[in-house]
Amino acid sequence: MSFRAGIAARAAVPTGVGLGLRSTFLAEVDRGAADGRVPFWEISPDNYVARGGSRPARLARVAERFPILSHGLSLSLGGLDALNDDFLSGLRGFFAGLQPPWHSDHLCFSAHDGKMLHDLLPLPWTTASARRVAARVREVSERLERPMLVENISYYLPLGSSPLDEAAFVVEVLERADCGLLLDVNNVFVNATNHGFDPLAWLAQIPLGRVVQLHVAGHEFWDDERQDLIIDTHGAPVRSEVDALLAWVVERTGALPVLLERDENIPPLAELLAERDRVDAVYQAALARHAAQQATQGAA
Amino acid sequence: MSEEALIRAFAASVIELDAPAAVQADVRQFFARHGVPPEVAARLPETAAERLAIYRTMVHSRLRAAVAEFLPKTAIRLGRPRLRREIEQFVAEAAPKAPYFWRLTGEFLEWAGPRWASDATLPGYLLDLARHEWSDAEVGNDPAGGEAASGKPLALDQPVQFDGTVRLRRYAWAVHRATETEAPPAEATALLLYRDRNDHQVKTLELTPRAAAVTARLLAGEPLQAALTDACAELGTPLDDEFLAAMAGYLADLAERGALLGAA
Repeated sequence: MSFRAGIAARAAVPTGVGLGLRSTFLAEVDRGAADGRVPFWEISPDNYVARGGSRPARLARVAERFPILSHGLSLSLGGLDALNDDFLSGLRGFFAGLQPPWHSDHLCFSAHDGKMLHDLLPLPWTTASARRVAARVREVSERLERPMLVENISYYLPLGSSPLDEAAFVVEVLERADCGLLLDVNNVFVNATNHGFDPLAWLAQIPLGRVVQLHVAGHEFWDDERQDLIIDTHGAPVRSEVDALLAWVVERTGALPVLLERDENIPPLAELLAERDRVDAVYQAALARHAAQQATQGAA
Repeated sequence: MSEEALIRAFAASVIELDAPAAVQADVRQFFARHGVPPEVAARLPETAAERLAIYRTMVHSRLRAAVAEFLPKTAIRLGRPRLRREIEQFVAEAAPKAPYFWRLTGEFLEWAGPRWASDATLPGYLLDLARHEWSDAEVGNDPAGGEAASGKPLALDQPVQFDGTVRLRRYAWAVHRATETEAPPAEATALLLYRDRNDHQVKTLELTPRAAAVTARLLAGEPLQAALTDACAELGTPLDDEFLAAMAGYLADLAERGALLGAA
């Protein structure tokens, strides 16, 4: 079954601009503070699997009222270590109750030689690397019994000779693994700025039919004085340049789930909901342009 | 293969203790030392050493921040430079193993415990304090807890059923009374911790020596009567009405709190 068929076979997929369900406001959301304001929540199952306390019950109640998307950080899809059997079993058990339409993780390595480094570290952009990663993505998809998406990361040290090699690498993984792309347009912008390339040229290499979900986020300078490197911190509001990339993609793909990420300097929920509304306006405008283009093409 | 060697070299720059100096001295030689072919290492950008240092800082800072969040009083006493060195050493020698980020503080303490216990430059109470601080997260996030009660009343010839989160912790210091700046009194201390079934908060009870002795035995699965008898024998106290009344009150309190569920 192709990844599209796999996704279509599952429950209805939410669209619109959702938020990450963070522990800082999980209790508020549980009490209904965001009801009617958010089309879906994205969670990281790494924060729920094999963990008790108030979280599981709260998540279960939230999941009764909202669609939940699943996005992880710890599979180390590009790592050299064997996939973690216990972790995969834990994820599969967790998904049995939650039934997210897919699971996503990053095109990176985050563990090495049994050491979990808890960060998104870059991979070499070679065919050999793409082949190895794609095989692991396929295996994870089979073992989790659901479609997988991979996310393009921000990188600060390229392990290839040209930035556009990264797009080619992403495409090769997508096709070899027959998986979807969680396209993080903030990461495209961060990389384009840090490494000096045109983000639209990068996006033009991506088969948009494989884009299943989008991420947008804010970023910050590593050194406020030098301002020569921006880091994907998810710690600031989304910049207009990232809005523009979001719009560029949605104009071409139509409706998708878009996740506004915020993991650092998390503002009060009301403030985050207001930013969600602002990003949603960008998304809705792009969606309207997409519909108009479709209508024009249909009439022609 | 050069792809795998690149990953190994990159990881080494984050993990190895001497990596910062070696990378700064000659980043291409550092990669070559980890099996990257010279022609591949030669293509690394000029910024490679600086960017590897940034990655190392990001990884270590994230781990350090998590440890400081879970062990705030311990982190204050260690101080930022010492905690930074501890994390560097931890990553090089052991590192987190679990894919669950919240667990790394427990993994760090497991590694740090023997080191701190024999380190005369640290306060004698520091390890107890750190373990006590971690207990809050350990019990608060324990997958156990909230089990259905057996429905059987306590019986002298039966073991008891505790909530799955109940823990007995013994310390040489009254670490639960430590403030951000004040040292805890040097005082043998037994604490019972459990996660409240209603509000999910971790509750801490300071136990008398006899309550601790009985609890230790009950947690080990001894029947109630044997636990009471053996505790008295251990403490050299008579198994009299006063003792039985005190233990009856203690167990009733635990039952009211939802920490003691009845006979097993």
